[in-house]
Amino acid sequence: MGAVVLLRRAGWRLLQRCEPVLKHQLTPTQRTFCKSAVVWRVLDENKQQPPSSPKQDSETHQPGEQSDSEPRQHSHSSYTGQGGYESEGYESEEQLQQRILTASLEFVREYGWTPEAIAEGAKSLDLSAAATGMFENDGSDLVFHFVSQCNTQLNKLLEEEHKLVQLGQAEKKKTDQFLRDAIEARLKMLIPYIDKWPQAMSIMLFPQNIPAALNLLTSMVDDMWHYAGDQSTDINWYTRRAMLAGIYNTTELVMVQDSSSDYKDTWHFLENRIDNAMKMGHAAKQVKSTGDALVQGLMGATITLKNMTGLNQRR
Amino acid sequence: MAVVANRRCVVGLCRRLCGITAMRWFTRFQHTDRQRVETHFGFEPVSEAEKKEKVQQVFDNVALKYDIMNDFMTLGIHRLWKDSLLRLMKPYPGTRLLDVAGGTGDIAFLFLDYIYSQREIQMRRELKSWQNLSWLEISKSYQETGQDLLGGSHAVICDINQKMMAFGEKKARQLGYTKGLSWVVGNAEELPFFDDNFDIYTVGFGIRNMTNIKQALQEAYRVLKPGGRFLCLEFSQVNNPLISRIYDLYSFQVIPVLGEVIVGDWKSYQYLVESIRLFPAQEEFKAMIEDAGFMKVNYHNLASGIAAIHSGFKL
Amino acid sequence: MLGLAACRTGRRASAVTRRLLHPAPHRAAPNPPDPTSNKKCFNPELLSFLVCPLSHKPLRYEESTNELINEELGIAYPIIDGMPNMIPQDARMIQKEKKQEEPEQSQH
Repeated sequence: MGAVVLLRRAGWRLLQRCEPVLKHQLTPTQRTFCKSAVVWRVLDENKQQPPSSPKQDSETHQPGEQSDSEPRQHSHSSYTGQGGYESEGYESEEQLQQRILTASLEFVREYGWTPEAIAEGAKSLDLSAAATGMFENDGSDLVFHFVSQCNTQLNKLLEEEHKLVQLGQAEKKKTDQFLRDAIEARLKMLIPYIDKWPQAMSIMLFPQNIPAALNLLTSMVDDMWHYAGDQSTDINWYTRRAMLAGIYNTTELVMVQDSSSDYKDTWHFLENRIDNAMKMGHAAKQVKSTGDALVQGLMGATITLKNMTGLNQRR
Repeated sequence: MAVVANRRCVVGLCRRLCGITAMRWFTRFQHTDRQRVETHFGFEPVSEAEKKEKVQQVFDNVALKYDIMNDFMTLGIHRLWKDSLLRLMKPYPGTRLLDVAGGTGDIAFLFLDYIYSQREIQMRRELKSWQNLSWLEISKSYQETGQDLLGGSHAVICDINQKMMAFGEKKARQLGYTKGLSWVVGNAEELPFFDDNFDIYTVGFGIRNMTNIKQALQEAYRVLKPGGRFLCLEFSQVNNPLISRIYDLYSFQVIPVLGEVIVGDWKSYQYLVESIRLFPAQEEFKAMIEDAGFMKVNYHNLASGIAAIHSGFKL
Repeated sequence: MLGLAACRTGRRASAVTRRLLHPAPHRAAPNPPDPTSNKKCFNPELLSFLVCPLSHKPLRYEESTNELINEELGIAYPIIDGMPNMIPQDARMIQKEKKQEEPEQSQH
């Protein structure tokens, strides 16, 4: 009985001591106010600072040079929040990330498609190497940045050619010639990084990266067919893209193993493949499903790469 | 002596039994009363000046047995959590780390281990690229680079408690960490370092003990270089209701008893457990970090939210 | 009585566990423990990044008193066992002491 009374008293004293917590909580409206205050503070700082810092100079040139036209969706187990503030004179997080990746491309020849190259790129922009924490650990961000940059460049090239043709300053090419030139132009962009390209290809084949890699490949192929004048709305749309994707992948594989001067063997191989494809098209042979063609191309690529990466690097 | 021990046991029993009920009642009363209470020491309302003194006392008491108690309280899992923190951090040789509330130096030692192994890999890679050089030249260059095993990396441990740091320094000497470590007694809310000094700022299980967390976050922002990373490993709110119940039981029933049995200090561990409950939840803390100016803030839950690693970048 | 016995066994258990438990075996650090370095000296390299927490200005190392001095504010931060104590509340004011000395001297 006495023990019960004791317990009750102790419990009551404890309850009395339990004062409410003083949490310094900002309401959502206060938080947005603070955020906008941060933006204005940065804007003020930018105005006050002399425009001599490299960041400032690049900011003024930024709007015209959006290199990444393919925003990639990551699936994180943790929550990632806060998009960048986009206002005049203030660089968003995405823009800064693009700048770091572009700067990192110079170090790929030495360090490969790895976070070390990204660290060196960040250092070259006077940022801490810890900024590599913003990117994926397998170097895939760098690879996809480069691929999407190449795709954008190709798109520009094809658009310019198209304009010239429309203005009557150039003759319209035949489909096979057009595709051959387009793929050749696109593959030539890989030449500066050809030594480390097998590593990039194997990175793109990691299971978590396959969706993004396929996305970039299909968009590139789509662009090529669009400028080649394809206006089909039936099953041919899929078969054409699958076929061109297959040709591109196989030519790419030949190119990384090509030791001839000026990659003559590769262009010869490309010519033959396009001829075969055209003949198949003319004979009205259709591939059964888009998926089959792509999968076959990918399987061939995987097996070749397994052999090659076994020789080149151990992961 | 026997009477004192008995009274302590009875009080302990009362606290244990009332602990969970009190905590539930306590968390219901969320309204603030600024005039009477400024902050809390565990569940006890105190002024900010008092809190600092009381926290100092707690860590003076537990300093010598801090590591052992950590092992018992978390069943050794805190080592895995610190390993996760390092794996997320991925520091490169040349990184300058500031470990605030680093106390006995666990995170700094793990950082140095990581840097040593990264440096080995780097040197091996450099060696591979020197295939054409003679053995003499290779050994000469190895000797030159071999002396710099850290690659310019440095870890500074800053804690407000001199006893914890003294214990950590002794541990460092015993384990052989003589290079690349500096010990500074300082207040996280008034850091004694230049602006834009460090690549990475970490705080492991220390930020909840700080009187003014916002001030600490602002100081973290100040001392980090642009591109630098803020990492905080801290106990957080459990998101699974079943695990939450078991965790509450373990925290309030077992840990203070372990504190009494192993270390002879019940109150300090009661405070530590209560301070965990009062720390803001993951989303709220994420908002606080964003308010301090950090970008790309996200968090990773460990053990269903028992601990969480918050990460932000100064961009 | 039972409580006392429990406390005693608990203390014995804690002593045993303490002996059994060693800090986690880290990978062998490259630098062997140096038995001769028992003397804890202040490393002047710290001055390259240490500043006064109040004014954020550089400090000067005073070897005679083993303190870090901020001339501008007249504060001296003590160095204990080679570790600088940069908490302002634990620092001592130099200027006040100088002012106290001066009036005493002028009186004499």
